[in-house]
Amino acid sequence: MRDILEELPNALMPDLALESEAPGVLRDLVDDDLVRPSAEEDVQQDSGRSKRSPLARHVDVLIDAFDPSLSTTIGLRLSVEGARLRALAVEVGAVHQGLERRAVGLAIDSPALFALVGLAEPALIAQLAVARAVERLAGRSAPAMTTTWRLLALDLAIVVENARVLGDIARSVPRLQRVLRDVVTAANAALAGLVVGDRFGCPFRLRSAIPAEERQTLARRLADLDAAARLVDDDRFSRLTARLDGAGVLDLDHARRFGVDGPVLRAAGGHDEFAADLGDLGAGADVGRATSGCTGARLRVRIADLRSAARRATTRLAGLDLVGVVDEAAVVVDVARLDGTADAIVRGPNGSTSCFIDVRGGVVQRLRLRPADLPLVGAIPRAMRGVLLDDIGEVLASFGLRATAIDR
Amino acid sequence: MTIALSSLLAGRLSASMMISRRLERGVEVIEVAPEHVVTVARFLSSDPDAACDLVDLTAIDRLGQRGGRFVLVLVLASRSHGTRARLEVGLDDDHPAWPTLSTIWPAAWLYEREVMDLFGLVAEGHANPRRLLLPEGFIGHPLRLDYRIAKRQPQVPSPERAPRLVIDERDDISSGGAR
Repeated sequence: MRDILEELPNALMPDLALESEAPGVLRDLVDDDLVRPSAEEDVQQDSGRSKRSPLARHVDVLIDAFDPSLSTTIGLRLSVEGARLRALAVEVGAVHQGLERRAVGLAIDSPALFALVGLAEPALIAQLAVARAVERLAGRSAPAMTTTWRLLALDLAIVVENARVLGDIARSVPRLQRVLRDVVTAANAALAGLVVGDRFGCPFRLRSAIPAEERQTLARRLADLDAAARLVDDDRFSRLTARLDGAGVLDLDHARRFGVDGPVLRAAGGHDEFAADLGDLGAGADVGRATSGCTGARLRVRIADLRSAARRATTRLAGLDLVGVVDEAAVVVDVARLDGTADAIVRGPNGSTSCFIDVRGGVVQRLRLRPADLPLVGAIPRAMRGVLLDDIGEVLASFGLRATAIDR
Repeated sequence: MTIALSSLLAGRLSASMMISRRLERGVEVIEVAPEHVVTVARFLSSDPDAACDLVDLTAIDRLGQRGGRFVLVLVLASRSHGTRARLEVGLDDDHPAWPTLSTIWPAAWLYEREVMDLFGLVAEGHANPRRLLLPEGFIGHPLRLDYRIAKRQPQVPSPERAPRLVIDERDDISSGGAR
């Protein structure tokens, strides 16, 4: 952020982050913070008595353009006052994919529907949510082995997402950034190697038999992942996390008001109350908790989530019989007789994704996927008020927002 | 599997507020009329024995089926019961609207904008009823079943008018509504 502002001609800013003893702590703006001179001072500057020039009050920042037809993935319009953010408008570039609309009229067990839901972000969580809703509609539960497998997949997704978020923030700690990148790679490889997507009757079932050599590789990857996850306690990263204590606060009351859950809610002292369909993932004792709702708290919650998910994944894999044939674990559903509505919630790395389906004669009348990220978009401007410009990147990243998850 | 919330409603508010109640696959479903939805929602939100949070708000278009065309669906989670429930609100075909629920559950703020955008239904009293996902100038509402999926839209002429979701100070629900 500072780099961007320094591109402004003759910009001059105080570095409160360096000058303050507790640079992340939010406090009321004081006159000294207001770098932008008054109109009178402008005149004085223009007359050459000072080298200071007024800073722009509004800055547009575009992050991660991903499609040439879009202007941006996320755009931030910053209203700046001195070295702090006065207000923030979030713009999420979106072309309506029509995913939910295109699902109407498809048979609930069609590969086309499964593929369509796979376009949602993150695909794994969306497909699991639909699978659970279909099973509820059919009045069937997945076999225990399938559930265990899904939980393993979710654990790996939690590892990947939290390592991604922490890696974004750990730019000043190159070694840790490399480690986190390796964690993402290892967890993704484990996920791809272990999971075979299928229709909604039983997605993510075990492959019928995994060769011994491949099993050893998988186990090694997960063991590495577990060890690497411990490195997030690196001292320098702890210092970075501590520096962000007090910055970007979203307190419990506001987190609830905005409908936020997941790590952001737990960092504010809340519990994940939305009933989850897949066990206690993310809501048991083995997850990160904090109370202050600040960026440092969110990061510590994510570190705890990353470590506990890596540990659970390793334990789950060790307990699985990877040689056993589990094709019979598929849920058999008489699709043509499915009628009615059902909903399901799956707790993902950034909060819950919910699925609501309405089916007549096995044909979808309405498919609704509510991503975890939409409430986050609503909450972020609140949390960003008064944040030091230097901290904007870290505060924003700590929410783990995926703009691509929002549009369906 | 209980009908605890509707029993609470009947006991502490009035059974006449509900058009029907049922258990559907373990989830309590309460049907209410649009004119009662605010009262019912306020009760479910504020009564400590209900303590319902809003998980999701969406709609269904039942074009071609018997009964009313549009149904508003609220997915709720009760903190006190640890269960989920659904509120269903059948909307009038000629005037498909309901009073905004964003003053009760601020989380409804963006969901209502989304339903207005994609279904063309109206959350009356919503202080910022702009489109959410689609660009201004988009014609029609793509989640209506009579919207042709292959319908062509006017070309977005410039990046400034490109489709984008905008959250700004008008969406500040932190004090219970927009400024």
